[in-house]
Amino acid sequence: MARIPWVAALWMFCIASVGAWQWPVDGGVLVTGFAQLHHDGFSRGVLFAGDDAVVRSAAAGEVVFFLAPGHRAHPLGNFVALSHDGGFRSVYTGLEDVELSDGVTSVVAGERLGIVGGSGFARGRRVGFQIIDEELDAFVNPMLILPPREDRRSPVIVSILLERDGQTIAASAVTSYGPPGAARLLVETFDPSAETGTTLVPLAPYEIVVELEGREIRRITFETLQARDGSVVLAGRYRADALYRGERLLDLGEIVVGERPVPLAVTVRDFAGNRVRRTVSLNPTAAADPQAGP
Amino acid sequence: MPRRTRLRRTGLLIALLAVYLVLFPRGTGIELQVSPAWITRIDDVDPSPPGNEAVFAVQTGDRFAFITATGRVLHHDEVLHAVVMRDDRFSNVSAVSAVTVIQDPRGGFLGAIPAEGYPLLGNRHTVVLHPDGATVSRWNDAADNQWTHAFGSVVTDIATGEELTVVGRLDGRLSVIDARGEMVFEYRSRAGRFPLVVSVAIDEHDQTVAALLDIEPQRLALFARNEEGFVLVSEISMPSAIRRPGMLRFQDNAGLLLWEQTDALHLLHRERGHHNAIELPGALRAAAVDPSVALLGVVTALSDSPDGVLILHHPGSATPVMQLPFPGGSEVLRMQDGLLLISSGPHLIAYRIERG
Repeated sequence: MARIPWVAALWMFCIASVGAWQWPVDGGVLVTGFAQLHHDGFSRGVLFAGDDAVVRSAAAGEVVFFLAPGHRAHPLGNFVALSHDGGFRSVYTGLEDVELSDGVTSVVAGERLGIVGGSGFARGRRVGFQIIDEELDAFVNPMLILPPREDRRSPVIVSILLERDGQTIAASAVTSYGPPGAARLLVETFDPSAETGTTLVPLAPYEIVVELEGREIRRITFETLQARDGSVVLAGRYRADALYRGERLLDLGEIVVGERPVPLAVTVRDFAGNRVRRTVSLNPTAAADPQAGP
Repeated sequence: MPRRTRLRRTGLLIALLAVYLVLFPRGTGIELQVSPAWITRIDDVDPSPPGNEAVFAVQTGDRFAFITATGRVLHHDEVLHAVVMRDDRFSNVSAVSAVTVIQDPRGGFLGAIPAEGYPLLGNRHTVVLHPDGATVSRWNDAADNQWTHAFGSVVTDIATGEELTVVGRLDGRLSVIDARGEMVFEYRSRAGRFPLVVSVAIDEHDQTVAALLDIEPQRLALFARNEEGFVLVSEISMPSAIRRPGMLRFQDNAGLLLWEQTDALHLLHRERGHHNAIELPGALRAAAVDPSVALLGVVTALSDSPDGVLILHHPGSATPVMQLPFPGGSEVLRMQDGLLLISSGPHLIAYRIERG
C-alpha cells in the first residue's frame, strides 16, 4: 500500500507536465528496461541503442553536472545531469561527447546534448536514460514520465518452474507437485522490445502478479529502485541478487501448497498494458502416512 | 670642512650607492633559478633496477609511465580504457574485464580484485565505483571485500583516506564510510537552489572532509572529525559555479586545500584560515605544490589555442612569479623537492628549481 501515494504523485506530476517530456533519443531503440539485470545488478534506467543517434534533453531543465572527455573517468562514461521541476533529475549516460560547456546553465526540451556513444562501461553503442527522484532518494522508471509509445507486443512467459529440495520441475497445465509443502516459484519471462521487428530484444516487464488459489500473494512493480541499508531494492524490498536467477529468470519467492490441488496464476504486464497470464494446477500427492507400514 | 659640505657629500654618496644597487643588484638568496634538468620520451624504458629515487606516475594522452626523479622510465604502457595511478601503484582499467588488476610502478602484479568498475587507489586498499555509477565497494590488499554500498543516486565523486571513504552524489548527499562499512557521517545539502556534491576530498589523516556543494550558490564546505563523526565547521561561498568534475585536493605537505572554479584556482591556507584565488587564463589542466621551494605551479590551457602555459606562484600571492608558455600544452605537472616535471607531446621534461 505504501506504493500507492507516491505512484499517484508521480502520475500527478506526469499529468501536470503533459507535453513537457519527450523521448531523449532520436530513433533510438529501447534495449534494456528499468530494473533489468545489467552488470550483475539492476539497470538504474533504460538503455537505447542507435548508431550516431542524437540525444536530447527530455524536458527543460538546469544543467547541474556533466562529465565530458578529458574529465576524470566515470563508469557512466560521458554524461549529463539535468534538474527539472518537481524534484526530478534526468541523467543521460554513455554519450560519445558532451555538447555542453562551462557557460551553458540550462536547456530547453529537445536540446541537443550529444550523440549515442558507448563511453564508460556501456556494452556497445548505448545511451542510458535515468530519472532520479531527489526526495525519495530513488531511481524511477522513466516510462512513468515519458510519453506513451506504441507497443502491441505482449510479454512472454517462457516457463514457470518450481524448485523443491534442490530439484527444479517445469510446471505445466496440470503439475504433479509432490508432497504438500513449500517450493520456490521461478518464472522465466520478458517483454519483447516493440521497436526491433523480428529481432528479439528482451526487456524487463512492468509488473508481475502471482495468485495462488485466486488470492494475490505477490506483486512486483518495476517502478522504483531505492537505497535501503546499503543496497538498492526494487519495489521497496527486492534485491537484484535475490530476484534474478538469470537474465530472464526471476525468483518470485516461496509458495506453500496444502493437500488439495490449487491453481497458480502468473500475470505479466508491460508498460503499454499488454499482458499475458498463465495458469497451472498444482496437484499435491497424498502425504505419506507415517503410521502406515511398508 | 663646513658641516653643509659634509652633508652634501654624504648625500651624494648615498645617492650613488642607490643608483649602483639599482643597476647592479645583488642576490638576496630568495630569487628563483629554473634550469633544465633532463628530457626523455615517455616510452624510453630503462630496465635497470631502480634505486631509492622518488618515482612519479604520469599520464599524457593515451600513454602513462612511471619515471624516477633522474629521468629513468621504469614502466610505460598504453591506456586501455582509463588508468588510475598513484606513485606506488596503478590500475589500467579495461571496460570488458570483470577483474580490477593492481600493478606496481614496474608493471609487476600486486593483486586482482574481483570487481568491475573504476578503482580509486588507497594506501593499503582500493575503492571501486561499479558500472552502474551508484555502487561503491572497498577491498583490502588481500582482495577481500570489506564493504559494498549501493546508493539511490549517481555518485559524482569519491575520495579515500586511511580508513574513511567519502562518497558524494548527484542529489546533494555525502556519506563518510569507515573501513568496516559503517556510515560514520551523512550530510544532505539543501542550501543551494540545486543541491549537488560536485567534488569531495579527505585529508591524509581522515580528520577533515572538504566538499564543493550545490549550484546557486556554490560553496566549499569543510567538515571536521569529532567523537560523533563529522561536523560542518566552515563554508566559503563561491562567486561562480562549476558544473563538472573539478580539482579539489588537500595538499597536506603544504597545509593547503586547493579547488577549481570556472576561472580560478582557490587556495585555503588551513593553519591561518586565509583564502585566496589565482585567476587562470584558461582551463586548469594540472596543479602541484612544492613546499621545499614554496611554490604553487599550475598548467592551464590558453583560450583558442592548443598551447598551454605553466605559471608559478607563491601560494599566498595572486601575482605569478614566472610564466612559461609551451606548445601543445602539458597534461603533466609534478613538483617535488625542487624538481618540476611537465610534458610536451611524448616527452617528459624536468627542471630544477632553486632559490638564491
